Parts: sequence; C-alpha cells; structure tokens
Amino acid sequence: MTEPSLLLSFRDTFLVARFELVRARRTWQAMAVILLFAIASGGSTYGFVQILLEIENNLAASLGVPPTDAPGALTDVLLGSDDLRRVMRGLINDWSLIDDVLKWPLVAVFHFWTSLILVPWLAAFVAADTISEDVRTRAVRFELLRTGRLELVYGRFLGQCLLLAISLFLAGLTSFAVAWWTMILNDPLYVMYGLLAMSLRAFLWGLPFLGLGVACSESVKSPTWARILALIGTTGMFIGHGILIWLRTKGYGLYVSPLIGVSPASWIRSLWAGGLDTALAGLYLPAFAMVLVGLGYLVLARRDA
Amino acid sequence: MRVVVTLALGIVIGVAIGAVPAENWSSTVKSHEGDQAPPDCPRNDFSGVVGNMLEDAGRRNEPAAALPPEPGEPAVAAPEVPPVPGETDAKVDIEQEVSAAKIALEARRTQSRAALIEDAGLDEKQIVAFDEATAAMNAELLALTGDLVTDVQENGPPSRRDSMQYAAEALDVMISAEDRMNAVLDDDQRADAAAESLDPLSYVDPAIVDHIRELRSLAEKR
Repeated sequence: MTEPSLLLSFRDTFLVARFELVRARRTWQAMAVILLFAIASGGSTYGFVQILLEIENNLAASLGVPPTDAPGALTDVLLGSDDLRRVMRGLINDWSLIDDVLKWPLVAVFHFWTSLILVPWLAAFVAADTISEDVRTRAVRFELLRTGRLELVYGRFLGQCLLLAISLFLAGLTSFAVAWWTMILNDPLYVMYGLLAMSLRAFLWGLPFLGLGVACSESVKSPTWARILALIGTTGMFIGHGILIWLRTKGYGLYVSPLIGVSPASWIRSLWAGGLDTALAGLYLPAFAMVLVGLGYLVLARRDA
Repeated sequence: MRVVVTLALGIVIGVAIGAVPAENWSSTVKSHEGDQAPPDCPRNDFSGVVGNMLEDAGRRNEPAAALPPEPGEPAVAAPEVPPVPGETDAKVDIEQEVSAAKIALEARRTQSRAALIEDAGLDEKQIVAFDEATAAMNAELLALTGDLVTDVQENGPPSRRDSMQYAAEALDVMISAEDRMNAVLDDDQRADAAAESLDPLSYVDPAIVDHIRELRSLAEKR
C-alpha cells in the first residue's frame, strides 16, 4: 500500500476528527463530557465562593463592619494580605510567580488550580474509549477501508482535543456564571477573560493525559480496560514524577533529568508563569500528547483489525 | 501525518536531551518541586507528596550528618536570627502600622458599602447619592486635618481650646454626613440596613492616616 500524500493525509485526519465530533454529538458523548466538566468546574467555583465568603465575613467581623451574603467586596484587600500570599504559595508552590499569578482574578486562579487536579483524570477517562470500542466490535475496519490507521488514530485524537477544548471553554463560562450569581464582581469582563485564559491553559495541561487515554484505547480492545489503564497511567505519571524528583535529590540527576524534563508535571510552573513560558508549554504539551498517541499506534498498527 | 508526528517526537526528544544542561538556565524545564521551591516550601501536588514521602523515608535511614548539596541545588537556609531592635526597625514598624491602618480603613468602607447595598437594596441613583455624601464628608475631614497639621507645623501644639474646636468641627462634619447618608435611604431601607453601614466612621478615607502620621511625627520631634 502506497503512502498517501501529506495533504491527503491531513485532509483524512481532519475528516476523521470532524466525524469524531459529529459522532460524539450523536451518541450524547459530547453532552456527557460537557456536563461532566461544567458540573466539576461550577461546583468547585461554588466551593471557592463559600470559602471566600467565610474569610471575608471573618475579616468583616474583626473590623467591626457588617457581613455580606455575597463575597467579593474585600477581595482586593485580601489580595494584599500576607495570609493569602501564603495560601497561594501553597497552591502554586513558587514564590517568584505569586505576584504574576495574583494579577489574575482570584476565581480564575482557583479555577486553574482545580483544573490542574481534575482535568488529567477526566481527560484520560473520556479519551479511553476513543478507539477500543470500535476495535472490539470490529467497526473500525469500515473506516480503515477509506483511510489509513495513522490518520484514523490522529483524527480521533484531534476530535477528542476539540471536544476537550469545547468542554473546558464551556466549563470556564460555567465558572463565570456561578461567580456572577454568587459573588460581587468588580470587573466582570476581566473575570471572564481570566477564566477563559485559564481554561486555555487547562486545555494545554489536559492534552498529554488525553493522549495517554487515546494510547490506552489503541492498546487494548476492551473499553473498560482502556479506562482502567488510562486512570492508572495518569496516576502513575504523577507518582513517577515524584520518584524521579526524589532520585534527583539522591544524586541521579544526570540520568533522571531527561525524564523529569519530558514529564508533564514539570510544565505546571510554565503554565502558571504565562508569557513565553506558557507559549513553550503550548508547543511541548501537544507534542508530548502526539508522541503518546504514536506509541499506542505502534500497538494498533500490528493488530489485526 | 507522519511529518507532524516526527516533528512532535523531535520536540520531545529535544526537551529530554536539553533537560540535562537546561535545568540551570531555562525556567521552562525546571521542576517546580526542586530548584525553584524554597526549602521550607510544602509540596502540594500528588508528585510532590510522593517525593516528600520518599525523601522523608530516605532521611530516616540516613546518618545524622547532612550530605553536601548537589550542584544547582539550593543551599539549606541558615537559621533565622532574631532582628536587633533599632531605629530602622522602628521606622519599618511605623510604616507597617500606617499601611495596616490604611488597609483596615479601606476594607471597612468597602465592606460597609457592599453590606448596605445588599441589605437595603440601593438603586444606582441612591448609590451615587450615598457615595457623594461620603466623598463630601471625607473632603471636609481631610481639609480639617490638613489645617491642623499646618497649624501645628507653624504654631506648635494647639491650645486646649483650639483642640476642642477642631474636635467639634470634626464632629459637626460627621453629624451632617450621617444626616446626608440617612436622607438617601427611605424608612424601610434604613430599617433593613445594619447600624454599622450607616455609621460615618465606617466610610473614613484611608488618606486621613497620612495626616495623623504627620501629627505624630511632629509631636515626636517636639
């Protein structure tokens, strides 16, 4: 079989991606994913607002002024306080970034922080049945009559990326809606901008785990096993990163540094930092995701579909 | 697609190779748990927790003497020495006090205003009128304290009678401000609002702290 031309290969990939999106809409998968992210995001924002309300009302009580039902009035005061800076250091783990991070609305910062925790597992879980189900039912062979395996794999990955992007965009808007209804927003447009900017970073952060999910889906026929593998793999990435960091402190830096460098967890700081650092993460994290999908492809390519 | 995948693989391999020397010059590939974090900085993510557990376990098995740090690793911070009290510290204390007082006043008026709007349900027109009343009060208070500072600078500490005169004028300003603030609200709104929200003292401009500080430093000089 001859290799398709570059343009033809791209065209096929985009067609498969489009079909993946259409199929996700038709099978209600898209709705489920969007709702999953929206509920997680809206719920965490609501939790944040309640914490902020408690902090602000405690502050109001100590200042001898009346409390409010909606927080937000004292947010600017809190931004200048050392206590909040210590909390932020706990969240982002880097003193040098605190001033840059606190320029963003607090609700957007918290949105990104919760995304750092939630998105990897959700993205890996959602992407884990991208291919395995069709391999199990052998439905994939009908698609393979019209295009190559590589185009199929990357087309579906691209479709899942678009679904993740849409879900995170809507999750950002859900967070904004919750914040809008439950707290005082001094500059709503800036808050919305902050939430959408953080949603973009959350999308970049989710890509490697999405790639891992697709790779697991390529590697096994059972969607259930693919999901289990994806969740274990995601957890393993973080545990592995922790072990590598520990090994580096034990004098194995020369050997483990390349692995630490490629580990997605090493790029969290770049995502917080903004500017060129985030742009570099925007180049690297999709590339890493594509490599993971490629590793899964090596298994799929040898399988009798 | 092969071209794009090969390019992606190249980027990942490039980062992996670059990570060895790059750890000392590029913040991008540095791990935030390692070189970036101060020694006392807790690791909050999952990897950090695992890393800490392993480090702690390792420390338990190590002899008491600490190993020399790896090149590029942060040196262990020296124990903090309590600062010796002195003139510089006193200045810093005053600055901190002034700053804290300003923050507290700003917080008081912001929160009081938010609570008033929420409790009494002020409309836009009422909010503007209320803000005008507090702004007028603050302008008068600032002018009054400014006069007092000038008076002290030129003539020394005011006499007992002058002091009472300034205090009476300040009280007049507050009373008339409270009347103007109350006039903005109707009876139901006044009943709904918390008493502190209608207290003129809740809306004092933090800038007044600067005048008080000047008076304090003038008194200290004498």
